[in-house]
Amino acid sequence: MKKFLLTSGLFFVVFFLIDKGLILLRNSAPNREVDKRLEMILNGKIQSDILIYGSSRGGRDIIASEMEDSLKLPTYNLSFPGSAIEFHEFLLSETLKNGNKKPSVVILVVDDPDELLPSSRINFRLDRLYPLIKYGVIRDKLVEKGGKNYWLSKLFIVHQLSISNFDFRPKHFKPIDTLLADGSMPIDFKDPRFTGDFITNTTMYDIKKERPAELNSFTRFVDLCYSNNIKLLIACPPNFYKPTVGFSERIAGLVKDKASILIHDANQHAYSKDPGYYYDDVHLNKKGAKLFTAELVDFLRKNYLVPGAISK
Amino acid sequence: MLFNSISFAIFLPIVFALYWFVANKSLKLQNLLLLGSSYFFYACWDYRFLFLLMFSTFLDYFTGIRMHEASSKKMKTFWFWLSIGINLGFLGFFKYYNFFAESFAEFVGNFGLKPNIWTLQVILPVGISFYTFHGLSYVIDIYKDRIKPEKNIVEYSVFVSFFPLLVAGPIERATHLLPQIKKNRTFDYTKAVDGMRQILWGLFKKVVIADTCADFANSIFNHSGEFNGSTLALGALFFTFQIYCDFSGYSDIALGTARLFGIDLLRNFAFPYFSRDIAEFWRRWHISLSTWFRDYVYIPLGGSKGGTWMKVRNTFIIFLLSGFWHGANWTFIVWGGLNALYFMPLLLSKSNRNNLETVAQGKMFPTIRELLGMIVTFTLTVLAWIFFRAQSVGHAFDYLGTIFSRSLFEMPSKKAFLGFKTHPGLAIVLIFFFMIIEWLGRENQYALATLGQKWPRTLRWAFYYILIIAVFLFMGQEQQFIYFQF
Repeated sequence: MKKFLLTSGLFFVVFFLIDKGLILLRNSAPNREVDKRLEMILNGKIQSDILIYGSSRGGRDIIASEMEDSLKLPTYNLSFPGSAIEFHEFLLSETLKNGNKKPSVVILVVDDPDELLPSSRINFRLDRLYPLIKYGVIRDKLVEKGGKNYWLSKLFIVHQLSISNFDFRPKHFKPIDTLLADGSMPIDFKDPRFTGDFITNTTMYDIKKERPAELNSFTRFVDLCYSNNIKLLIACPPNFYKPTVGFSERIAGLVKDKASILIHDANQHAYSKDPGYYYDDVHLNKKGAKLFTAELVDFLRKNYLVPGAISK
Repeated sequence: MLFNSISFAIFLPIVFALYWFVANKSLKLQNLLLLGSSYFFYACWDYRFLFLLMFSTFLDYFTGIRMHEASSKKMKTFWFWLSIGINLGFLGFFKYYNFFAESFAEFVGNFGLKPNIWTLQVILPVGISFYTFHGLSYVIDIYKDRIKPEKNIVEYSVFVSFFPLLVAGPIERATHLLPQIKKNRTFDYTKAVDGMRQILWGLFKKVVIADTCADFANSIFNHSGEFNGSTLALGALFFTFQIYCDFSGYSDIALGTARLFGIDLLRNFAFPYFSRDIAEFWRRWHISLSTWFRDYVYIPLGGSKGGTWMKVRNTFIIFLLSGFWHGANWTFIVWGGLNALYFMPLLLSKSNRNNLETVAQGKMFPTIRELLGMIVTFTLTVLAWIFFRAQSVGHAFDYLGTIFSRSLFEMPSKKAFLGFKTHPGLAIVLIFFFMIIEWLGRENQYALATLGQKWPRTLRWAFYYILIIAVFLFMGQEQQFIYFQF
């Protein structure tokens, strides 16, 4: 027994020392990230009046710098491809803390029809959180989302790490995810699989299939803006298919009078059904994004959502 | 209390210390401690069902003695059927009531009738299938005069409730475990270190491989309608490794934990994915359940002694029962039936006992014939797991239909793998690493049993640290073991 206790004692002491040494690895991880937007939020470096949240549609279909030039108001895009409303809510609530400037307008880009439904296309993007685990708020979020264990992350540095901490290769963007200085990710090319045939089939939106977590996050997102006196614009950008029947009505029903809604109407814009303005059937290309951004600017002005703006 | 939880990491050292430092002078005290800690372990799941476990234990203990002391064959049979009836009654009620009620309603519904069937919100007591089978084997063995009943209630209760095996096996036999419980146990350094090593390997399998594969398998199976054939094939592969590493990982932790207390449990897995045919696979997969069905169902039915028809009938019976044991769902029954079908060519050609030894014994690589056998067996197993994992039989057929379509030759969909902490490529690398270690250790009780024993201590420890770091890196929220639901 004595030998067993001594050997296991020595084994655990060595492990303890190795564990504490890993703190260097943990703290250096954020420096290797190329997309710094989440860390900017945590460090209070977001100082814009207009902020855009959403999934890839928010990132690719709206060009923040174009909006900034038109409205003469600092604008920044905080949309993350593949992210769901729960993630957007987390980003917004963190933006409102940490010494960031409180925006006067928030644009939330919604996905028709996946916004509140179970979907494999959008999720919480835990992978964006792992490299930033040195921040307590990120650690707590990972614990809450099941990515980490509370006690283990308190006791062991090694549990705070993830596989990405051991990837020392310089990170780079894929052509599709290239990030501009304003946080937007417009695309200049076309998906080779995009046929250019407008999809006329449509489906009925089914409220019964909505996920409670997404529904709660959506409501909290709207309420966060409302209670902080931030004007919220919910935008549904153009798609190369017919809108889901009942989706926009459902969104309108949820926000009531707490936000403005812009549902792109394909019948009023010539570019909507022109494949030359699309990357694929759910994303615009840069040319299309410029037009949709202009449409948003127009809407913000006409509806007096932007401070100091006048109706054209 | 899960094996991969903080609470177990606190519970185990406390029980270990009390067992070897406080209760070590008396076997009676050690067994009382094991019983108390086992009941505490079980109560952490749901204390209400602890009384069910205690009742089931006392029932088999009492009827065992009554059978042995029965003055007539008639009385002996009475006590036997009383025990079997109550045991299976509990199991049937908790596990199968809703299944039978719903299936009956569906069946008569085909004839235009709409019966008012009551379905209940029955909670399945954890481990009920395992401890019921424990008790059944004990009672059957006494009835058949293979063993004498245990008179010491504490020792018998430890046999049924010993915490490492309580919730998911291995399904022990009185002939194997009871003598160990009755014998004085002294601390054995080699056994304890071996136990720690097996626990580490079990944790690696569960946390690193099974839980990582689970993310992808769940994502793909839950949205299978959205993906192409190659993605679904990957989903089935991920589930194949998830279920093996989840259950065999659990078994390794159970066996390792028992070794820390000087007790050897039955081996449950023997590298089944290296099997050269389905018969070999079933000799190596969930061994304690397969041998249970062999000894208590297949052999009493006549086993393979009768003609061809009897062999075929008996094989189908045990495979279908084995499927049904896993749960009240047609998917498990179809899974069992499919495995019986796989078994048929071997049975009919009398080649089901061709591969009794470990593949490539004493050699590094298998022969081409062995390799082909392993690939075919593995592929058949992967296809059968689709039924095991699918939500319904229809879902499984749709899933298979997509796999066997042209889209099998397309690139897998990236959407299925978005947002997880592990890249699917890394998961595949980890599976390869795992399979290499398993291959190197395939002639032992478990993969790490002798691996690295001849290495210098620094190197050996470095290897263990890598495994531990991997466990810490991949561990998230405590993940349930799949077999706890059975």
